[in-house]
Amino acid sequence: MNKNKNFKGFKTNSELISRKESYITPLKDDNIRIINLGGTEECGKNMTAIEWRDSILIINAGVQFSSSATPGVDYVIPNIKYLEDNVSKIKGVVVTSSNLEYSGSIPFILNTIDNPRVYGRLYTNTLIGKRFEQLRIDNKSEFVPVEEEMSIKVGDFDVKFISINKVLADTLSLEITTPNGNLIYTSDTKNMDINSISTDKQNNNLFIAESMNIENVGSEISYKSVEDKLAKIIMSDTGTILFATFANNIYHMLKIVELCRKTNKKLIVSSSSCRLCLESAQEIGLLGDINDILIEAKDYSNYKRNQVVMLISGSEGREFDNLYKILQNSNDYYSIKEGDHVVMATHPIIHNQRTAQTTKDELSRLGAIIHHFKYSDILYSPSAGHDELGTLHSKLMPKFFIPVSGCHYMLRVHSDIERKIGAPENHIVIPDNGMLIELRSDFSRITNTREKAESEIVVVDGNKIGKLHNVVIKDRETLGAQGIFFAIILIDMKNHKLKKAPDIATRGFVFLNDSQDLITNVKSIITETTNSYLNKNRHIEIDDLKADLQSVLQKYLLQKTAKDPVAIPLIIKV
Amino acid sequence: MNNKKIITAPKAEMNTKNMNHKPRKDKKMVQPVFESKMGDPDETSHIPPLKDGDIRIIHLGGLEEIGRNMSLVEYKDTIIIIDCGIQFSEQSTPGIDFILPNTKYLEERKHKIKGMFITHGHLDHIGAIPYIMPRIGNPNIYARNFTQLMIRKRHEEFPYLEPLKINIIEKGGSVTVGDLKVNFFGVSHAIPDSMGIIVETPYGDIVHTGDLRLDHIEGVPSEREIKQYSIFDNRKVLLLMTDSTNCENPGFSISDSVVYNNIENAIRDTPGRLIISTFSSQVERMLFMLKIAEKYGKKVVVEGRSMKTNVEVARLAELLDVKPDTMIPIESIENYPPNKLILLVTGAQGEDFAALGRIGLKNHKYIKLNRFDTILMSSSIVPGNERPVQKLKDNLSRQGAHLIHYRTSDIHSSGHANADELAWIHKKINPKFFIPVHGYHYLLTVHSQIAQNTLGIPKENVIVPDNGTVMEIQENGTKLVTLKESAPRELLVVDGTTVGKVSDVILKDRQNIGDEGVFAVIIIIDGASNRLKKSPDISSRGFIYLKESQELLMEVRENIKNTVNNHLDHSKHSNVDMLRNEVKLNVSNLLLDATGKKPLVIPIIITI
Repeated sequence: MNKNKNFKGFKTNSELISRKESYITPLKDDNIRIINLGGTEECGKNMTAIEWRDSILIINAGVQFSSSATPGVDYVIPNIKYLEDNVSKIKGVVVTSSNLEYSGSIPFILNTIDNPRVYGRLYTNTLIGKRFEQLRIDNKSEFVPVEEEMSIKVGDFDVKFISINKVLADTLSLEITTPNGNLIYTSDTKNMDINSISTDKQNNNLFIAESMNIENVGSEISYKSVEDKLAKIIMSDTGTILFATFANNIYHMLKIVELCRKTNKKLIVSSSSCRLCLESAQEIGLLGDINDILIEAKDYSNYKRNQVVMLISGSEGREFDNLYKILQNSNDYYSIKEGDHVVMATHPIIHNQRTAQTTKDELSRLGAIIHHFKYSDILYSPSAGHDELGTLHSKLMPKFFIPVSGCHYMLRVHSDIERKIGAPENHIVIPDNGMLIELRSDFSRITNTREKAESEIVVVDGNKIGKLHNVVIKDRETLGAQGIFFAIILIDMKNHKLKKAPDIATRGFVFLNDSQDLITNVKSIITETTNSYLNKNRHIEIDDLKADLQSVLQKYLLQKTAKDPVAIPLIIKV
Repeated sequence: MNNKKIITAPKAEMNTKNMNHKPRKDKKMVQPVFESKMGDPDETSHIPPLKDGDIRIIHLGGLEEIGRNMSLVEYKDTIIIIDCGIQFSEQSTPGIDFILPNTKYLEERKHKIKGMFITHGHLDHIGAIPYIMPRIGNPNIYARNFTQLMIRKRHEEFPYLEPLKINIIEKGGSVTVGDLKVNFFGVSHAIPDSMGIIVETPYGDIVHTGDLRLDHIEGVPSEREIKQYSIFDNRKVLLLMTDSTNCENPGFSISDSVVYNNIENAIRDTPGRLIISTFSSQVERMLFMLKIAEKYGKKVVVEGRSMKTNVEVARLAELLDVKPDTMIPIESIENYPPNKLILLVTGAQGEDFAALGRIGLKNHKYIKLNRFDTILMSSSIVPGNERPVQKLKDNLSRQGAHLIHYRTSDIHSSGHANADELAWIHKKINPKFFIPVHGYHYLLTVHSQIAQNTLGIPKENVIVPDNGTVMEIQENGTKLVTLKESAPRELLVVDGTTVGKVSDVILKDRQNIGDEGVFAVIIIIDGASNRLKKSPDISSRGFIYLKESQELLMEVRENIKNTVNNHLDHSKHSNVDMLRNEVKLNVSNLLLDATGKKPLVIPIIITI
């Protein structure tokens, strides 16, 4: 993203997001409508909208990182068609985590929904503000800082912020009060302080909770043990210490700074993602002046190798980018030497474990000492694992339950917890993206209505934001595995014949130097096919000839090479 | 139940297709073109000849990946080969079918090759045989019965090749080929008839274990294992080479007894239909499941090509010990009540075209899921397949089926030893020198630490090699050294019908155009007038949706016209290469500015 130097801003292609009003029955009978616009069929792009009376409250707007299903795409973002159609009702956006999976879409979508107010913790707001700058997008929304215990009114909603996890500086949960019951949305349940939740079990509750780490079974690690591990690593004196992932998380950043000071080590903050985190923390006073330990990357060689800690973590989804650069030796002040420590963490779904393996291979070749954590064993992702969530459910004993934030299977596993504590089947809804869920205002019933908000995927691809064109993606898939084969055919219109022998250009197909026979044969097949067409037809229909050539070409290439490249005959009249 | 002890599954088993791999139409009938130009004819002449009395060891594959295992031991006029496997393609080799070991070293020493020993029948140990045999003179193969049946079954797919010369050997046996005597011993793995080999040399034995784990109960190796490894009590082992796949996992792996117990419970207690997916290479576990199903009066359907093949091989090996009517054809499942049905299916790695994948996508002809079905996924996830497997689980659970997955229940254990199992094996074999094999580089380094810590082997007696590293045991077996020369190690691949080296350019192009697309511009220059003949033509794929970008196309055409005219104005004889570069640069920049994408720009300049 932003690969271009003359970047002029993102284009939301209006033709791409359909302008057609899709009819959805308006909300009635004082019902409460819950729509997950993202995050219920994948890990990432979390976004939940709560609609009641004349108000819509949006909770989160995250991104999903691109995968092999969306080759070349930068981010997948929630489809907000429903919100665009109801823009007048939108009263605010609450952000429960600074993580990109919860907040990353905000710069891309706020403008489309008339720049509503954004509520988040001070750190989260500051960081999002910086992301706007980084993306060179104007921020026209007001960002309102909120903290634990605060209650605010957003349209018709009474929202109270709660903090289940007392340690993280960027996470929140919230409780929405309505006359007959409450909605509780949690997203900071890891290492929860169970006593911070004082809910009256007699109350009617709808519980909406995230499921990111649900497949992690067993007890959670404690803050103390994470700190101890970090301390042990930073205290080691065998070489430079590199934080290749998760140092751009405020909790880890603060710990690392503290430990550097304690051990008299110098700190280099060399990734832009970590710099944003550092600046945000300093701006709001979470972190004071650290000029005593901070050094410039270019001065690295002035210090002893084992006296330096480097933060190189890339932003989420691209965590390893800076490490790759170092491994490719494209960093002129530092290269990995024997005894250096590399600290990293991966999530089984978000990260490709095969790529992580390759990285470890290269690091170990250089003699680096590798510390590889599981995501669930650090505090980067704020959601709890299976057993802790079980405890939370037992404590809350909610009447209704909607699992969110996770792939479908993860939501299902999460819903099993609720079933185990006795919830009837019709009190649980496992949502899909766009599903319209309605809760009766008297909290007597929850239903999944048959209607669905638009949920087709929307992507950021280069500087374009819009729907994904299947043709383009399919082509990318084929190009990426089979390559491309162009044949250029010049037709002399005056004399009704081929002007010259066809020209061939290929990329990613087979190695042409080794395939001279193949090329010669292809050329003669094209010549024959074209001549035969010209002999039969006085009038030349380019599309017909093209179809003939394409089928001949594709068949021949497949037969000879067992590869099936994108084959394009280009017919040019001269 | 046969009285063979059942062993369990490999962690990173090689039985999954490349996830991006699309099934091709008429591929199988096409005979591969064996590329003749494998570089210079004497690519290995820089490697000094082996001194008489020294022993040379090279691993041609398997040391930087899981897959394409192939090793050789050379002594006097004899080379023996151990295994000949393929590796499946992955992200870094887009579009490639398989990766083969680079056998150039052997091709130039064909006359010395006296035999190929295959440790077991998994594809990462036998899969390259059809591709490699013609290159190295089709030497004698030595393998145990089940292994040789697997090799023959695979060879049926290559009818145009010379028949293989297979010699069946058994554990406890030995054979002398050329200057070397080779002994065989049984090991526990996931497939019947797995073995290790012992090569006798004047200085002691060279032991290559193949893939293995330990049969144990909660960390105590069974009597059978103790007996199996007691053969080393009286041997002097010079060098050990063994499996590193799971050496990163601490302790002992989950006991077979636990896994089998859980599987038996599931088969007995599941109220509705039970669908079980596992690696098809898990032959022993499959045989166990069949047996248990029969015990509880269930009928079994085996669905998926590789699984059917392996059951067929088990039948040929007379290891399939169930009544004929226990296995039923899939067409007849409607005739049985669901609680009597066990379906054994392929596709646990999320492959769209395997049986379980099709069930997930609701396009399986006979199996439609409902909420009374239970699916037991008795396999781990091969690294890199995490997302496809997650997608598969989503698709299955969406249809209401109940899923039991190895991550939450002990229903899978790997066929490869964990750290403490390896330590036990190191102690039993007690070698002077150690070379870790079968795994990624990082795993080999971890394994080398285990060897040093367990036996106190000095650092200089352990080598962590790469593919192609030439190692020698010199000075009457007293020194293990690495030569500075290495055997050719470039990737040798099967890409469609081409078998040969893969050009980096092609792989890079594929990766690049697979993300950013292609943008071709055709420029026709009238040679006589030295002017642009007509407005440039544009053809683009995988870049952006062109129908919505007419304005941009106009802009690009304008840009090209200017570039070309400028160029032609300033040079009487247009330099096509220079013009091509100018157009490429200008168009690339324009597209990047306008779209933020970097498609591969291909200027095609034709002068008429």
